[in-house]
Amino acid sequence: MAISKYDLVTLLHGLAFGGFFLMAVYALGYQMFSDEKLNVNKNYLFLIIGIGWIILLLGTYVIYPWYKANPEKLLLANPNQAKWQTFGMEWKEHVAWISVILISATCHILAHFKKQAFEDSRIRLALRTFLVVAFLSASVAGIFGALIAKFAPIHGGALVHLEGWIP
Amino acid sequence: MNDNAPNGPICAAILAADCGIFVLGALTIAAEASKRLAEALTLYSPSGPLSGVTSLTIALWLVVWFVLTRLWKYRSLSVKWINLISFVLIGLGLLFTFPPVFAGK
Repeated sequence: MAISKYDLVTLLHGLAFGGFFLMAVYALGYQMFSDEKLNVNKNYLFLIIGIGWIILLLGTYVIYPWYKANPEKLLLANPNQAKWQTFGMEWKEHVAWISVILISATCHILAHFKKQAFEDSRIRLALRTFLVVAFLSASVAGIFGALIAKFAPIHGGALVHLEGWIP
Repeated sequence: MNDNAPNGPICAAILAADCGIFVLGALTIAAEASKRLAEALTLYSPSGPLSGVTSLTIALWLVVWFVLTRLWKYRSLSVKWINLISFVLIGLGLLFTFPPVFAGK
């Protein structure tokens, strides 16, 4: 059960970290839109920020160069697939940053000014807006990432054998 | 609304994030329009101009956040106006990072 290093890193970026990030943002948004008091640990908020930045930095400085090396050229060479790059990847690589910036600000405010955030309806409106935009932006990045990976998968690097991980 | 604690630091965080998003959009369009700028923004060549666009965005965002927090630490501001500016800047940032807009197609 071997997987290439590039595939494994891409999976971690999208499925593991990206999946966690999307679910965490959704859960925060759910709490912000409900009338319940926000019940979340400060460390968890910082974890969400940290995971968001790991996703971005891994994506921009590790996976994106792998993608530009070959898969991008494959997409652009086929007129039926070129829009996955010219629209999908171009949108994804920018919109993901919007999501993480908004979540960083939101989590910082919730971690340090939770009481005010809930008592002031206008601050709460700002945070709700941030969470909705962040969730939609992250969803765009995730969906296009998953779809582009189907049409232009990133393979390469040493093989990682996963058999040892299975009991 | 809690009138006791100043909301300056909260407004600083909100407005700084909005500025960051707007700057991301503006730099994206600018890099697409100017090859020279795109080359200048290529801080890490395997990632292309994206490396410089995002690095500059983050740097400006953090600087604005720091400055505004220092300026507004003990102040309370009108969150209504902060929200209005926020919606405009986020809207523009989202628009400018949409490929049919920044690629001009």
